[in-house]
Amino acid sequence: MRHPAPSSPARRREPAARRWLAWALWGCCFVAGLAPGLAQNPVSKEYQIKAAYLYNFAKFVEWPDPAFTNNDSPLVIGVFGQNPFGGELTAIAKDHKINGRNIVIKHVATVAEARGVHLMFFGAAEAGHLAETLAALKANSVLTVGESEKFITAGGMINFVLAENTVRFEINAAAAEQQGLKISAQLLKLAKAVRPKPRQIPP
Amino acid sequence: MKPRGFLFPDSALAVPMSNQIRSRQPRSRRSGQSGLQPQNLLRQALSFPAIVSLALTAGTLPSFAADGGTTNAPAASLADLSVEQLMNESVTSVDRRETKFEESAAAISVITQDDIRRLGITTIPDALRLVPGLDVAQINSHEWAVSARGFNGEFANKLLVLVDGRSIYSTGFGGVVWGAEDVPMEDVDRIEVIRGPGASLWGANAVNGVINIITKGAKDTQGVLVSVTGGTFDQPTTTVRYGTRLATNLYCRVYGKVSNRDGLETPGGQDAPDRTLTAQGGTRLDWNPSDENQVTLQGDFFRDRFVESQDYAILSPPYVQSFNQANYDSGGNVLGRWTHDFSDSSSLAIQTYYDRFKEEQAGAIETANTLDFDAQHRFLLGNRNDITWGLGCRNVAADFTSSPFVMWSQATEHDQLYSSFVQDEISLLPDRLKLTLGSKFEDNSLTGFEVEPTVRLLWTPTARQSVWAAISRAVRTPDWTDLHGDANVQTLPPTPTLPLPVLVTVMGNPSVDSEELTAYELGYRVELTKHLSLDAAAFYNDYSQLIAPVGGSTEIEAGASPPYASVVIPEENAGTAHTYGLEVSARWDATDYWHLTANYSWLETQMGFYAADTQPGPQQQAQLRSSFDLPYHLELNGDVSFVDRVFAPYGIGVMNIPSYVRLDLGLVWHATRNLELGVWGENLAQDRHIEYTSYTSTLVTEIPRGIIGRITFRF
Repeated sequence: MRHPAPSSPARRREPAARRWLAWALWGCCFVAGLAPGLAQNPVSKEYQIKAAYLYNFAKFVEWPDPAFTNNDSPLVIGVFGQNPFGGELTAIAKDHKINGRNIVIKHVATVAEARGVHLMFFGAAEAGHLAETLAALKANSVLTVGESEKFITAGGMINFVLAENTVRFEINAAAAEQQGLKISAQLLKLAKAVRPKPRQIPP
Repeated sequence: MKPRGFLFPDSALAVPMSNQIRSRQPRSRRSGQSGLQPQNLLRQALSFPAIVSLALTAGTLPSFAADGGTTNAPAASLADLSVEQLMNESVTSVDRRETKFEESAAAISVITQDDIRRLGITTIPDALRLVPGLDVAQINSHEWAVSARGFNGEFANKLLVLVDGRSIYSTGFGGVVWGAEDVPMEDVDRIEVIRGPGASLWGANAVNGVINIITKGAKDTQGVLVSVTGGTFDQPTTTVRYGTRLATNLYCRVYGKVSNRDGLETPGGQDAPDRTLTAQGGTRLDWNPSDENQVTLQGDFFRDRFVESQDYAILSPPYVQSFNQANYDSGGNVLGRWTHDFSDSSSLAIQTYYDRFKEEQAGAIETANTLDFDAQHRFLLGNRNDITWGLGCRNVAADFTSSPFVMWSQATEHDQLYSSFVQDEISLLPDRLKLTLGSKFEDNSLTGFEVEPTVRLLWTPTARQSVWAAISRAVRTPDWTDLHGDANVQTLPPTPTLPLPVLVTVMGNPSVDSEELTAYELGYRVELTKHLSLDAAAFYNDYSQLIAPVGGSTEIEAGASPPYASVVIPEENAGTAHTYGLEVSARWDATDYWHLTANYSWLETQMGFYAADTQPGPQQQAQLRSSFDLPYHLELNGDVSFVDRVFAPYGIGVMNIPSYVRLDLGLVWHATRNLELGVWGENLAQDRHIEYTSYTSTLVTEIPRGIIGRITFRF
C-alpha cells in the first residue's frame, strides 16, 4: 500500500477530444495569422544597420557651403532606384537631426530627380549603369554610398562590404574630395580600405 | 503499515526532516484542538494559518531602500549607435534568444557583465537580485531560494534556468541547485531574465519565468585572466582562464575555478556550520568556418562539498536530532551547437547536449543523465511573417538510493520528452502592431500531452513607447519526489488526546498531473527622454492543479518499539492560487559618467489551498543602484534594496522573516591596462539579517555584514 507499482507511461493524459480541440484552435489562429501577410517585406537587420550607417556618415561629412541654401535647410538623403530600407530611413529621419538640420528622405528614379540630394544610396540592384549615373551626379556635391563590388571603381565614394556577419565600409577619399566633400579623419580611420589620393603632379 | 527501508538506530526511529520541518508551534496550541484525528490535525497544521508564525528577530525596518537595479537594456535604436558599434553589430540576429528587448511583448530584463563586475557579484543568484520583481533569498552557503512572481522556496519549482541553452532545472526535485552552479562570473556575457511564462518556447516548467545565463564566446575571452576574490566572509575564490586562437576563425578557452564560500552566521552571531567548497573547470571552442556557419563546442565538470546542519525526526524525545552533514554534488556536461544561415531571412540552429548530475545528500544518492536534442529554424514567410519552429527530444535516465531522508518507491526513472514548437511574429502594421502566436507541444512520459500556447500583441504607437499584452498557458510537470519520493516530514510529540508520537510522511503519488497556469500580462515601455526610460509590467496569474499534500490515512504501529502513529499524506493536484502584481524599472543616465537604475515590485498572492493570509513572496521590493565613474580610472558603485517580510516554510508551519535592507558599496580601480582592483562593503545596513529558511534544517542562518576584495589580472 505504501509503494504503488510503477505507473504505466500512459498515465493521466488529456482527454483526446480536448487535445484535438486545442490543436484545432491553435491551427486556426496560426492560419488566421498567416493570411494578412501579403504586403511588405520586413527589413532585414543588414539594412537596418546600413540605414544607421547612412545617418552616421552624414554626421562625419562636411558639404561645401553652396550645398545648403541656409543654416536651417534640411539634409536630403536619397535612395536611387529600388529601396531596400523599407521604412527604416524614414523612421530615423523622424527622430534625428544632423548638426541641427532636419533629415529628408527622397526616393530618386533618375539623375534629373537627384537635384538637392546630399547623400545618395545605390542598392545592389542598381549596379547596372553605375559609372554613368555617378558621372552624371558629379559637380552636385553628392556623397555617394553603395554596396556593390565595383562601386568604388565606378567612381563611388563609400561602399559597404560584409565581413564576418558585420557591415564594414571602404572609402574613396579622393573621389569625395574632388567634389568638395570633407570626410572626417575619424571616419577615414575606421574605413576598411582608404584609397590613396592620386599623387598630385607639381605644376 | 510497514516501516520504510532504512535502519532504526535502537529504539529511536531516525526520521529525517525532509520537505518540511518541525514546527515551533507551542504545544498548547495543538493540544487545544483536542479530539481531532491526527490526519485532520495535520491537514489543519499543513494549512499555514493554523500555525503561529514566528518572528525571529522582531523589529521593522524603515520601510524603504533599494538594491542593485537591473538593466533593461536601454532601447537605443541602431541609429543611436556609434560607427564603431555599428561595425560590430551582427547582421544575423535570428535565434530565438536574440530578440531585441524593446521589441518583445514580454517582461524581459538583462544583467550585463558590466553590472556584475561593478558590484563585485560572486554568484549567479546574487546577480539575479538586480532584476525587478525577482525574489532572491540566500539560505546558506550552498542554497538559495530564487523565484519570480511568487512561489519561492528552497526548491522553487516554477522557474526554468538554462546555462548556454542547457537546462539546469532538476527534474528530480523540481528546482535548481544554485550552489552547484559556479560559472566564473568573468565569463558571463549576460543573464536574460523573462518574468512570466515562457513555455511556448521553452516548454514545461517555464511557468513563472525563464533565466538564460549566457557565457561569452571564446573569441571574447582571449589571453590570460587570473582573478582572486576574498574577504571577511568568503575565503579566497580563484578563477584562472586562458583563451587562444587555434587557427583562423577557431578560438578556444579553458578555465578552472575554486570557490570557497564560508558559512553564514547564527542569529547570535556565531559561525554557522555550513560551508561550501566547489571546484569547476571547463572549455569552449568557437569555430566560424564561414560567414554562414558557426559551431560551438563546450563542456564543464564540477564537484562540490558542502556541510549543512540537517534535522532528523526521531520517535523519542526530543523528537528531532540535528547533525552537521557533509554532502556532495558532482557532474559535467558536453554541448554542441551549429548555426547555419541559409540567407538573410532564414537560419537553422541545431543543439545537442549531455548532462550528468549526481547529488549525495544525507545518504541519498541521485544520479541523473540527460541527453537533449533541439533544432530550430527561423525564416521570413512572404511578407509579414517571421516564423520560428523547432523540434526537440530529451531523455533522462536516473537512479536513486533511498535514505532516511527520502525513500523512493522505484529505484530508477526513465523519462522521454518529445516536443515541437512554432511561433509566428506577424507584423500587422509595419513598425506599429505586431502579433505573436506560438505554442509548444510536448509529449512526455510523466503526464502525457501538453499544449502551452501564447498570444502576444505589441503596439508601438510612437518610436519612444510601446504597449504589450499577452495571454499564455504553462505547465509544471511533476518532479520525481512528487511522483514517488516519500519523505518523513517530522514527528509530532504525544499529546494528552493521542499519547503516541505521530510520524508524518508525505508520500509521492504516481498519478499526479501537471500544475497549470494561465497568465495574463500587460506591459508598457517608454523613453521619456533620451536619458530616462521606464519599463513596467503587470500580471494576473491563475494557477490550478497545484501539487500539495492533502488528506492522508493513519495507522497505529502498536507493535513497534516505541509504538507510534503513522500519518501518510499523499501528494494531490489539490491547490489553486491567484497572484497578481506589478514590476517597474526605471533607468536614468544622468550624465555620461553617472547611471542610476531603480526598481519597484509589488506582489499579491491568494492561495486557494493554503491560507489566504500567507505571503509566499515579499509583497514589496525596491531597489536603487548607482554606478559612477570617477577620475583616475576609479568607479564608485553602490546599491541599496528593501525586501518586504516573507513567510518562509519552517517545519509544518511558517516563519515570519522580517523585512530587511541590503546596502552594498564598492570602489573599483583600473590600476593599469592589465590590473583591476575592487573592494566592496556588503550588507552594510545591518549587522546581519535572515533571508530564508531551509526545508532540511531548523538552524536559522543569517547573512552578516562583510568586506570583500578582488584582484583581476588580464594579459
